[in-house]
Amino acid sequence: MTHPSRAELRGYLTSESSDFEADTIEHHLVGCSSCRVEIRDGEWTNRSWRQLRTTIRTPPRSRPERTLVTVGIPNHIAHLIAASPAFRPAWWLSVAAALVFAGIAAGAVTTNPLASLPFLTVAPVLPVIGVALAYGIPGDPLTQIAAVAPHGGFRLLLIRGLTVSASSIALAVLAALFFLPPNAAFIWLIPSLAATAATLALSIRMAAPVAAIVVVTIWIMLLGATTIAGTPTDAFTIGPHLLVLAIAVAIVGGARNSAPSSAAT
Amino acid sequence: MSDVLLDRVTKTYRRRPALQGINLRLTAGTTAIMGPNGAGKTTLLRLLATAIRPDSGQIRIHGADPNRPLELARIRTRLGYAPDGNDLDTRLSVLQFLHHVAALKGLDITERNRDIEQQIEALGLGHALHRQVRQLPTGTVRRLLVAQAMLGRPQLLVLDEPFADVDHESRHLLIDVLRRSSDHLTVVLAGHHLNDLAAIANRLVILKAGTVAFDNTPADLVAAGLATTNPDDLSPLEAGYLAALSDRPRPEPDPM
Repeated sequence: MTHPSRAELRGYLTSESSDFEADTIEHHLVGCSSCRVEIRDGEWTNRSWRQLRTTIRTPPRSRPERTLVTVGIPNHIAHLIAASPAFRPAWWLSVAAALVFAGIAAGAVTTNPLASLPFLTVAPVLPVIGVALAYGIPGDPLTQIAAVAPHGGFRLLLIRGLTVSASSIALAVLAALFFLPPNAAFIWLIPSLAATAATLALSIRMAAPVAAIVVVTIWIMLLGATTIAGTPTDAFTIGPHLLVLAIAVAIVGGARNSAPSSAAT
Repeated sequence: MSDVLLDRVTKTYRRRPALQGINLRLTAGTTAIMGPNGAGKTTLLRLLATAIRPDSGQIRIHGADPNRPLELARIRTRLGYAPDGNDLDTRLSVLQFLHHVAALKGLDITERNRDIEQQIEALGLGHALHRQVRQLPTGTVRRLLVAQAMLGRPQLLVLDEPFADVDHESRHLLIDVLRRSSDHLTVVLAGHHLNDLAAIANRLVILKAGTVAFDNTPADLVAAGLATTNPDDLSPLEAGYLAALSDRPRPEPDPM
């Protein structure tokens, strides 16, 4: 039997081996007690573990995550926001769905202003529903783990919805500036950004689903009022107001934002 | 007060009853849930993991009611759940995945580093830290699923099929970790590997068509197996398991 060298065992322990080498060494370790003893008792093992601890304690952080932490977002929330695009297929699907919605809405209103009402009604929630459908792969173990985690479930859905809305708005603005004839398609994504931010902020104070019901109710009431006044598209001015409200609530309740009580769904 | 209490719990999927009036009291230690496919094992575990709600009956986890939002949040901060499944389809590396789950659990940096270090060491994941989760072999995925469940120092650990399709090394590590864990927390796990489960559990619950067919210690299952006629030369454990699932009345083990 050929035993792995100490350098190879060290590489295995410190994650520096290639996948093939790691699998080969692991297979060897199953049947070789002397190498297992070597790994567990060797002086150099302690050094390897020290290196490993350094790796564990300093996980690679993306620039967005570092930026979010710098502006005061709690560490774990910043990680969840920054990690959203790591689930690439779902993230791109969500962003694409949001952009398609904005494009269709902008086109429909241009040709028929009365057509704005159905789009305005669903504007705050449609991107979040898209996120839920894109990320919520039935039977996926990661989805199931997230669903029962204190900061998973509905709260995670809102965090991802916020990320998707913000990214979609940025892309829509860029498209309007550089690639397409000037249009304001991005404005159709502002209600969802505002509503999601407001729901997240209010969820500091109440259960997240209750916060969502409050925000959607306010939106529908204001939309009804502007429709009766004959100018439903005035509802767009409500988006920034909701956003300001959300930020104000977040600042006031910021000290409690790491409490998991809001994640009760 | 028992750690986990299920009182007349019923769950139905599309008119097909998955659990029918289950009564269980689970205390610290390891309880293995067994039974044939479709017996209700995963449904029971998902109820304990608060992933689904019962149609009727009550569940209490460390005295808290999962139907109440604030109590549910409290339960989840002390819950570790590893669902069944080999295909964790994510591009995250093992290290990123563990940090991601730690963030989902709301752990601060100190807790996160401490727990991830402990689990990587205990479950032998050090060599795979930078490998993408989707490329891991089955045994390593199972270890990773248990490792993430242990983050945040749960009081209740719910593991669905932790030994399914695992290699010898992974099985050895998992059994070692679960044996040590059962000293200080409530572990509930489901599976089909009778010998493995009997080796680590101090209590076996066998489900049959959504009802409890057996609820006692592994030693009692062995005794029940020894008391049956055994024409197929099965081990006493296997004979006891089959006897529990049979429709015939099970003979009582001889009093010692």
